[in-house]
Amino acid sequence: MNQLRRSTLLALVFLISCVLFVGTFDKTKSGIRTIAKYPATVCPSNLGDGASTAVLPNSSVMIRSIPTKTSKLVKAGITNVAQGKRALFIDGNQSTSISVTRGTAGWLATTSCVISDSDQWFVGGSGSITSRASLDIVNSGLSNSVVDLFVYTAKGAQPINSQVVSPNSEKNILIDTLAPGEDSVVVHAVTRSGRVSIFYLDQRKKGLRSLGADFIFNGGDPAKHIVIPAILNSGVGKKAAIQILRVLAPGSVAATLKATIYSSDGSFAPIEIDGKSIMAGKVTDISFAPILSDQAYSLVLDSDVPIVAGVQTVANSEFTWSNSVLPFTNVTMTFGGLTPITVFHGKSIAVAISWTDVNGKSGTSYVTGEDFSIWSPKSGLKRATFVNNSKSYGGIIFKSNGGISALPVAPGASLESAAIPVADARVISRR
Amino acid sequence: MSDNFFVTAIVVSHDGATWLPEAITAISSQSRPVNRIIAVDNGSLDGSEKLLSQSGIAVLKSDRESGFGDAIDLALAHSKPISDQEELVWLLHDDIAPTRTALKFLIEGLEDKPQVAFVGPKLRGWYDRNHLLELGISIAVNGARWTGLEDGEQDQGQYEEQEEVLAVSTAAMLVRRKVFEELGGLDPNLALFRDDVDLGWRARVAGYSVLTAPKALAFHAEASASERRSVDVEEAFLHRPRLLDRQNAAYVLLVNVSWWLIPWVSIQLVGTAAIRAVGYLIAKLPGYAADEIAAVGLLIIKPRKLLIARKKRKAKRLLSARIIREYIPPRGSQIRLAWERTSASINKLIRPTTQDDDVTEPMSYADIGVIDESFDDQDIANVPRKSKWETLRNRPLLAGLGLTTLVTILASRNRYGALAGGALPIAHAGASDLFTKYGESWHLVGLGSAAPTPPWLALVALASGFTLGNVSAFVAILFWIAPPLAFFAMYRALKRLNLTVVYSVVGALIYAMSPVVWASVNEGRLGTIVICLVAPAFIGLNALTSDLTHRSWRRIYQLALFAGFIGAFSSAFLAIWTLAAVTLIIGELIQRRTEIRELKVTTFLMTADRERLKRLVAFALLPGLLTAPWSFSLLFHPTQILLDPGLPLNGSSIGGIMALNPGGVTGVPLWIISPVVFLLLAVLLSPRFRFESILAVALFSLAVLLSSLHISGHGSSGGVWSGTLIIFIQAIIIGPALVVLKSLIPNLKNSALGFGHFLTAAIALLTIFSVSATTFWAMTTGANSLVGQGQPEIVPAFIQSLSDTPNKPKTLVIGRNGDQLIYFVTRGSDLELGDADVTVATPPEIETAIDDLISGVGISSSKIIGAYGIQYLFIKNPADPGVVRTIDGIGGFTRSSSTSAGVVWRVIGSKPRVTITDLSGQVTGLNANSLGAQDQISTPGNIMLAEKYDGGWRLLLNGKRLPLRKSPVGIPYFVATETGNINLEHDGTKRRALLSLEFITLLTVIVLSLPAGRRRREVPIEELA
Repeated sequence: MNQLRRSTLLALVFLISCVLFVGTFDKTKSGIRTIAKYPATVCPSNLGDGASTAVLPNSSVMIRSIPTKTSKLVKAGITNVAQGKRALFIDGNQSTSISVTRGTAGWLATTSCVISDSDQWFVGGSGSITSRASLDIVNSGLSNSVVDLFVYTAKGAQPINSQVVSPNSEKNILIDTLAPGEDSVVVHAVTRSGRVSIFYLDQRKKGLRSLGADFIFNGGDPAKHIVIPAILNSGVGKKAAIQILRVLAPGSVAATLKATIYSSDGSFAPIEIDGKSIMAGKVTDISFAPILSDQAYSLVLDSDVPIVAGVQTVANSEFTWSNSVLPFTNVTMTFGGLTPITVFHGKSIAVAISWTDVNGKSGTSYVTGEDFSIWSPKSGLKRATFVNNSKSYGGIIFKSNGGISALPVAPGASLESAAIPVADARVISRR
Repeated sequence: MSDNFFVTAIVVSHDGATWLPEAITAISSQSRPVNRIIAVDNGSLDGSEKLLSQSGIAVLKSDRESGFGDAIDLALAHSKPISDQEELVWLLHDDIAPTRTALKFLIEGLEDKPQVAFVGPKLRGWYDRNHLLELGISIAVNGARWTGLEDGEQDQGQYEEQEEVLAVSTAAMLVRRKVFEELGGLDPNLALFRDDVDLGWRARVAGYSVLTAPKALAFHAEASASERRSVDVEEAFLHRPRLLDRQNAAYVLLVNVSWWLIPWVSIQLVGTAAIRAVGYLIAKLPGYAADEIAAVGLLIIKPRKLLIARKKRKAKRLLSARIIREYIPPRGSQIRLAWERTSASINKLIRPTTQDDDVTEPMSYADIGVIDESFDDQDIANVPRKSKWETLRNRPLLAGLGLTTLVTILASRNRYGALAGGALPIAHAGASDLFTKYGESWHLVGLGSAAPTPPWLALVALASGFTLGNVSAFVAILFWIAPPLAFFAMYRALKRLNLTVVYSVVGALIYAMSPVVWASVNEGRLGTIVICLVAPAFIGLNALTSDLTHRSWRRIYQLALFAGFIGAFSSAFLAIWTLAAVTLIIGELIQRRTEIRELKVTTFLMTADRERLKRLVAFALLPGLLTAPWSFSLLFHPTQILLDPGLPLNGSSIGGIMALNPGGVTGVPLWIISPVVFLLLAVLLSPRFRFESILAVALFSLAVLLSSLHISGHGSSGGVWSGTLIIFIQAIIIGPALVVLKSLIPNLKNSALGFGHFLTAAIALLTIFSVSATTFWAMTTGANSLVGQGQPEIVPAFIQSLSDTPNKPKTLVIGRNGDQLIYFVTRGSDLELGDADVTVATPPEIETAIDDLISGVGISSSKIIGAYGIQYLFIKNPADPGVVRTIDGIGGFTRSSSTSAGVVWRVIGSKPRVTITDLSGQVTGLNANSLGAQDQISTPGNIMLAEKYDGGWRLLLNGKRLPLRKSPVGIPYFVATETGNINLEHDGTKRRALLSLEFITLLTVIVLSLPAGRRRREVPIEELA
């Protein structure tokens, strides 16, 4: 009997031990695992008549040209890749590469190397007689891509122009073929299929005399609140600049603008813009001349209907386009020795900038302020990482004797995060 | 002596001393005496000759090797023919005893019938003298001896008319000497057996008749046929009577049938010999099986003998051989007889004549024999008619079974049709398809798999014979009737424990209405359902616990076979069983270590008493071998042991397991605790059934431990299913618990109110609550189970239709399981029965490509996916708009359609199943079948196969084997340096070899499990005749 009780007791103790042992573990799965990767980006080919360079974050980045016979990537080997008539495919990495084109006539055009975006608004450019503006559609994918181009001018929307781009190739379209004779152009590019990156270079010439050039970057979808954070307030050298706001209300209802300029001098409403009514569907150019002590400022537009807008800064034989941006998060950008004038706009600006200059010196700068802040390094930078601790907007202006240009503080490609899919036969099992 | 015949009796003896005294007496005392009697002794060694001599009979001596015909010829040669009277010769064996009037009636049988050549008596058994042996004989086209009588048929006067027959036995045949000599006597090639049929056949085609004389009666011992004496005739190879009989049967047919019938007869002889041989092998009579084959073989190698015999017959044939057609038994009657014999044997096997001890059916007065049968009828007539409810109350088995069936009918209202869902994939294939799937070495599932198919698939295919090969119907029926069958299985098991009907019904209800049974049904757990039907019977056998030494080997093989069967449906059981057997072996060796040390290992193995050890080794090895090669794969992938048939699903938490409720998505709610938990408590508190209670607690603990595990396999992932262990816990505990309660309740009646009363009442109430709650749940919420009928197809119709095109495209299907994105590759159909069990991991290259595709960075995803022959990408609705947008934008995929089912893209550059890439990079599709390819290549290049890499792929180019390589994307390819014919296939030699091993083991174990047949000489003579 004792033996019986002992064995029964032992059995029960063992069972309880098992329960306690298992109870310490959580049976539930650890949850859905995610992967985060940077997608590959594309730098444009040399679109103008200058010298173009793709500035890479390091020499070990894998690249290939578009088009090429093989899709195999090779190590770049250098950080400044001279661009010819072929676009450059850059394997995914954390940094945003940029493309820098310098014209022999003293102009500068910069753009970020970007990933495909299905819906892009380019505010700027011209189809007039002086225009050499062109749209570069790069298909880095393995299937045909279809891009619909919706062109708006001062006369209104033009017929839709659909472009088919073969896999692993690029297509260059002159704007004057899309909007012949039109001074004011806004291009809305919609990618229907394929992996497409679009670049828009506005270059102007009067005869053989260059009137400057710059890339127009994607300003994002139409919105009622538009922020153009970095607009150059001066031309090349000491010459004053002409400011032209280009605005479009792409819907069917006219827009009434409320404009505010933010600078180191404070904020004010430019009388040329503020309260102005914009006709629906027609591109409107408004010249304005803010009197500011600083070299850059921000323009904020509020509208009762969604609009898109950009500002062209013209200074003698050079110009630049500043377009609207969205608040940035964390961005690492490659500058290749350029000296950026970084302008931030936001109610409460708090940005940490970790930088490495051309001399190899590294540092971190903290930019704070309300409404407007500007930061410029003492020397050219190799790269900088912007960590936005507020919901600020950022833009970059390059100004040198070699020309002027603007870039948004925005990544060429965001870290793509997705739940890791798992192989599971239940997906083809009924119920 | 009223007739005008002279009768010469010829008695041929050969070791017939046992029967001769009665035979001589019978012959000597005929009412119509024989006129002359001659005996021929064929070298008897038992004093037969002396017996004959002492009886005053003239004895002629002959060789021991002489046949019956030789002896008759010798006797006739020494007896002068009678000229003034017609002489009749009465041929007599030494083991026959004619009745006193036999000769008289035989003579009457041919008197006044000059066309009648022979006449034969009615032969009855020597020992059972009412047992009819023969009334004329014939031969079937397969060589079988045909009497037209049933086995063991008794003579009740049903054959009293004289009839025309093909032949009569030489045992007591009366022949006209003149005709006999005219026909050439008995064929000397037929020394023994079938000489009578041959003689009759020859007489018939010579224009004579052969008649029976039913009034003439003789008792025949059939000593040679029943192997009561040795067969020493010269023709008897190895002295084997069956061999001689079969050989002679074939001889008779081949020398007498028409020329044009010879091929057909030969085929039948060979075919029947083969079937009989298999039958004898199954009955463990290899000697008889060899006889069957050797008989035909020995004859075929001597065609000259047949030719000479046919020539002789032709000279004396007056009529066509067709005239004997009416005496040849029709095929239908042979089949009917074979069927009757088989069913009688099976009946005898499964329904022993002895009644079960526990049968308590009251005997009628008529049975007892004290009164006539009408009394019983009157008694029944006077019983007042009961209402149906009262009838049910008095018949608890009927009530319990009826209740379970009713609940099942209501609960299964959404399951009447082809079932799918949960762990159970749809079963579109027929039985033959499942067998094919079981045998194939490469499975066209996902991106391909060489995993061994689990044997349960073959068993399901085999069982679907009940539904004429319709697997879907079989599976559906199994799921419908599982609870009532579980009820009945447990009832039978409990009855064996000498429990009353009421207790047994209660136990069966607890089992059939337990959460685990209903959870298994609702979640499509095919394996658990099968196990719940057989577990009660298996537990009742006490396979490992009883004294193995005293168990017959047949029983051991039966148990191993049973364990193998259960193991086929539950790898966990197989592992536990094998482990337990190995543990017992080790325990035995440790226990006898002193003996081993003293004897040394070799001597121990050769001489020691190893009966228990040998039986344990059989237990350890056989179930594994019976389920090979699948069981072997478990050794290399031990985590797969924890997987049940079908798709893995998440089961219950630890709380559910503690309640013996495996839970699950549509399982029984966890608040319904299985009453077996309380029954286990009762058994633990009882001093009895110590082993059972500890075993149940051990399994309980194992179930608890396993419930914490999450496992991947069978194409998916999920928690470890504890249902199988719970089934075994229930099967182990219910019986002992009821026995304990049964013995406890009378004691409680006579004792003061105490702990025992409260405990028993609590167990009873909780049991009633649990069974009622499960029943109610099953009929309401439980009817909306995961498993159901009419589940919509997953794969769009146009993709299904593509599966038959030469390119054999695949489709990547992406969907969601909760928040988790899931994918799988289909070849044009939904997941089918058995597919999940052979599914293996996706190649890492494809995993990466799909990860990149979903995250939007996979610029080359379409290339890799396309290299595997995936032609379409299908995202099931509700599709994630973000994923759709990503795929739209990533390139390499062209949208084909967007319907309510989902969005389909075509993969750009998708490769056909088999391609050749020439030196210029040109890709050409080759002619592929579902598995390999046969084609002609006109250029050298790389031959790529859009399947997962496996070492079994073989390619022959102009008959030469090319080395297999693995491409950077993980697919197999071959470098062809010349043009020519290619033959690409998956080498299934290893699979076939292992399946052969399994089949041989299975066949051997089945044969050894079956009752052994008896050689004729082993059958008691009383049973024979």
